[in-house]
Formats: sequence, structure tokens, C-alpha cells
Amino acid sequence: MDPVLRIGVCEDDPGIRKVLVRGLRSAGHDVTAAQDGREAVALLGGVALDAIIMDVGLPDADGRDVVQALQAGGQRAPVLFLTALGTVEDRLSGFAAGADDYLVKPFDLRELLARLQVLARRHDRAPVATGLQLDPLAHAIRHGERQVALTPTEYRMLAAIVTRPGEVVRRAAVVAAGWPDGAIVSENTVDSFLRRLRVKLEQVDAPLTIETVRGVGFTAKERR
Amino acid sequence: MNPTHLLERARRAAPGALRRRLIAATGLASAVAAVVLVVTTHLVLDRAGDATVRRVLAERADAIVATLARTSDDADDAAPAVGPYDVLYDDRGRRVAGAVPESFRFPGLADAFARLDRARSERYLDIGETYRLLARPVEVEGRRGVLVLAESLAVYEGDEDAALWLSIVTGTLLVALSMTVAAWISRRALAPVQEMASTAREWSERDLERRFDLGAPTDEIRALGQVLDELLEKVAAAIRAEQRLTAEMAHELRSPLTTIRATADLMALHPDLDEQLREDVADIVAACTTMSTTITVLLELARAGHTGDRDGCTGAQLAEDVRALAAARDGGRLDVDLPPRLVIAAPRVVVLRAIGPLVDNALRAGERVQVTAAVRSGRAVVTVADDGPGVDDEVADRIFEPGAGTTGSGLGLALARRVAHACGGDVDLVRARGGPLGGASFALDLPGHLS
Repeated sequence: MDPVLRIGVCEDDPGIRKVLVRGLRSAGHDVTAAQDGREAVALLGGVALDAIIMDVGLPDADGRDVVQALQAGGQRAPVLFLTALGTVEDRLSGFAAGADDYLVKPFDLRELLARLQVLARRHDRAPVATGLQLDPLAHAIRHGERQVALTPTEYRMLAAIVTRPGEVVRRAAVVAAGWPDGAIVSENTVDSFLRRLRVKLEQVDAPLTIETVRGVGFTAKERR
Repeated sequence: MNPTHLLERARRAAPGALRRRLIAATGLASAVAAVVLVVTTHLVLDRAGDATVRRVLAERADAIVATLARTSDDADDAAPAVGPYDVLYDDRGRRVAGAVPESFRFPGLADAFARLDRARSERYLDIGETYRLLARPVEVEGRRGVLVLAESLAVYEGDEDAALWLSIVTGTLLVALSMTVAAWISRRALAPVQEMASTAREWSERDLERRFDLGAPTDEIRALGQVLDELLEKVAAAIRAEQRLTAEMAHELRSPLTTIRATADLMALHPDLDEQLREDVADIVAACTTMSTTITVLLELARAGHTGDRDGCTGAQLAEDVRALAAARDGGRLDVDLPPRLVIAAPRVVVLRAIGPLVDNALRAGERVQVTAAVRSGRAVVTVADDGPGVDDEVADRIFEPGAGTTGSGLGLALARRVAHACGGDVDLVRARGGPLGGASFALDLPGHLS
């Protein structure tokens, strides 16, 4: 018998959401369901989960941005994206945004259940909260009372770095998170984005800062 | 015309051809002007020289006649009035005064004087381009005679030659100068065009955001750049709108399909489902799969249509795709024999979608499947033959209608034909039975050639 999992679901289509919840519950899992990005951040942010099923095309935000916000808030559960598209570019941008798996609609419910079991088995990352809040709806960062707006590209680059505190995130991974697949982005462009991000992190008095690891990439460090 | 084709054509155009034509045209025009200038100068100087010689001769004759009138009637007194090259004859042609100078270089001079010694009226006579003679009838104290004078043309001809050479040199310099100026101006004027060409060369058909950005329209070419930028903006907007529509369509169709599929899956998970219901649920799932495939194919067709994937599909790529397809189906023996130089003028993914159902059906029908191709007058015909039992006559008539397939869901062949039509081709049943391997054979006909 497969172990009981705590699954977070974010899907805007009521039909799919309903059948997902029923399917997961009938397989014996605990389900928390959200219908849009705002609700996902509120319901799935602070709870311990074994896996998240996230629809990419939400009405109020990009599912990829929502996942990054959840991860920046300390949510370490593996994520399975659902998408109506399914081109290589879509899948790649999903993985760059922190996806662990991908299913194209319409999918086989049994396959989804099997994939969730595998994801949950591999999930052994302890939650680490950075203290910095990412708002996927407004593409903003918040710390305490302070808030500053980012461009979507800045948001995605920052999220790619701060969702993995302590790890060195490769330059290519940061570019893959911020730009569409195949885009040619110069080193100078990345560096100037990073400079702006550091300034914005200081503006909200963030508890962390981004350091450049020469020749490798970037890492989020606690600010002393 | 497709903007990609325009770009391709611009790439192929010989660089600098327009400049060379411009410089050549300027050179030709200025050369014509120079020739006209030289000829006119020559004619004007010739006329002027001619008039001057006549005037000099007439003035000299007037002076001699006046001198003769003042002197006495003694013929000997007339002698001092005439100079060298002047001769006075009486009415019988006898020389009265003056002498024809001896000239070894112009032996005809004496003859010319002799031809004029009885002239009745005033007349001129040219000896080539060396001398001009004037014969003027005179009457001195009642006695008639003829005064003949000669003027050397050497001085005038020398002046004319110098002027001619001067005008030729000036004309040549003028041509060279105007060509240099044309080269310089055209280089400057066409620099933005070069810039545009090299910029456009770096773009791919997916670069929707690229613009020429030549700056304010201060001249015609910058204005053209701006117009092209506006056009690119419109094209990009149209492509973005199409992509958005495609994505929305995909989303709108796939979401309800996902619900249907997942609900059917959920029903199938019930352990106490009766056999008939289980079968019905399986039918729903199969229909969902077919519909999902159709949506995917139509999306790929739409994407391939607007991403400008005009590179086509090579024989090697098609062979690779067909083998991969057969490997995934895991059944039957597949022989693929496609000319390596074969190029089908349709996107690779679309060709695969058109041929997929043919290969799929063939592998289902027989043990052996053969895929071959031939190119005839701009068409590539890919034949898929099997060694199966063939297609029943009643099925053969409506085999391309949706739901009429020999096996499976029956949408495959209808979809294959639809895809082929979209690329300017067709799919047909060539032999219902008795094909190359004994069973049925189908042909996919698409635009193509040998590279």
C-alpha cells in the first residue's frame, strides 16, 4: 500500500480541480486545493506538504511564479506542473522555475498518482525559510512592512537564487529562469540585472543578499 | 510575399550591385556630357578659326586694293603694295606683281595660285588644312586684274588642336571626378541599407522583437527603415496574436478534455465496476486520447505554419522518425529506403504527422513494412507498403473518412490526409491489395525535390 501523502493542488478549472481532489482522496491522500495564485500562496505556503500539483496557466498569475514564491517562503515540497501546452520550451521554462515533474493535459490519472508517489519518495529537503516574501501576482518582494516591485525577469532571476539558500545557482540556470529558452543573454546584462536586484533587496532591508561566485554563478547569503 | 523569403532574397543579392550600377550610370552620363562638350568646343573653334582667316584675308585684300588705288598707273609701282604670298594678275592671267613663294613642303601652292589667276568673282580656295587662298577681281585705273592672297592655316589649326586636347583632358577628369563623387555619395547614402542587411542577416524568424532602429527618418532610407520597423511590428503582433489564440485554443479544449479523461480514469479505478461500464469507460478514454492527439497535431500544424519552418524535412530525418515510430510500436519488420538527398518541402514534425498513421496502420496490418520514396517533377511521393491482407473493397471507398479506419480509432488516415492537404499534398490508397509486398500500399504526396 502506498503511503498517505499530503498534496497541495492549485488548478483554476473547477472540473479538473474537482476530479483531481476526488481522485487523490480516493487514493487515500490528504488534499489542500487552491483555485488561483493568491489562494495557493495563502493555503500552500506555510503547511508541510509532500507534493504540489500546480497548473501553469492560472488566471491571476503564472503557475511558475507562484511556485517560486512558495519556495522562497520555505515550501520545499516537490512540484508537478500541469500544462495545456507541452512544447519543449514550455517544459524547459517549467523546470527552470523549480518544477520536478511535468504532465500535459489531458493526463492519465493513474500516471499522475504514480508520479506523485515517486516525487514524494525523493522529497527529503528540509524546509528553509528565507524570511523574504515573493509576491507572484504583483512580481514584488516584501520584507516586514517594506515592499518593492520587480520586473517579471527580475522576479524570476531572484526567485531562482533565493529559493535555494546556501546553494550556488549556476549562471545558466539563472538565465533559464529569467528568459525564454534559447534567448541569448550577455554576461553584462545578467550582471546589471543582479546589481539592480541587490539594490532592491537593500531597499526592503532583506535578511539576505546575493553574492557572485566567480566563474560559477550566484548564491543567496544571510546578510550580516 | 513571406518576409522570410524577402530576407532570403536580399541575402542572395550581390552586395554592392546597386552601387556599381549607380556609379556606372553616372560615369556613362558624364562621359556623354564630356563627348558633347569636346565636339561642341571643336565645332565652335573651327567656325571661329574659319571666320578669322576669311576676315584676315579680306582685310589684307582691302589694304592692297587701297594702296593700289593711291599709287600711279605705272604697273611697276604696284609692286611695293604686295607682300609675300600676294600676287596680282592682269586680265589675261599674267603675273603683274608679287611672287608665289617657293615651298617644298607644299608644292600644290603654285598650282592653286595658277587656278585662281583668272577668277571672275571673289572666291576662296583651301589647300587641305595648310593654306587658304582668296581671289578678288580688282580694277586699277581701268585695267582689270585678279588679286590672289594666301594665308597659312597652321596657327589656327594649332590653336584648335590645343583646345581639343584640353577639352578631352577636362572631359576625362570630369568623368573620373563624377564617378568618384557618385561612389562616395552612394556609399554614404547606402550605408544604412548595408547596416539593415547585416542586421537582418543575424535575425531568425523567431526574433519577433528585433527592429532596424535606424533613428529619426532624416532621409528616404531611414524613412524606409522606419516603415519596415512598423511592418515588423504589425507582423510580430499578428504572430503573437496567433500564438495567443493557439495557446488559448489548446487550453480551452484541453481543460474539459482533461476533466472527461480524469473522470473516466476515476470511474475505472472503482473495483466494483461492471464489465459493460468498464468497457464504456475505456471507449471514453480512447476517444479522449484520439482527440488529444488531434489537438496536438493541429497545434503543431498551426505553429509550424507561422514559425516559418521552411527548411523542409530531409530523407535522413524522415527515415529516423519512421524508425523511431516503428520502434515505439514494437512489432513487424520495417525496411526504410529513402534517397538521402530527398528534401520534402514541409516541416519535419508535420511530415511525421502525415506519415505516422500510414506506418502505424501498415505495422498493424502486416509482418513486413516497406517505406520508399521517389521524386517526380517537384513532388516527393513516399510509399508505405505492407504484406498484410489488404484493404476490403467496401472500406477502401471511405477509408479516409473519420471513423472508417481498418483498425484503431479510425481518425489516423483522415488526420493524415488533412495534414497533407495543409502542406499542399495528399495521402492516397494506391493499391488495396497486391502492392509491392503483396498487401496494401499508401502514398504520401508532398512538394519536394532532390538536394
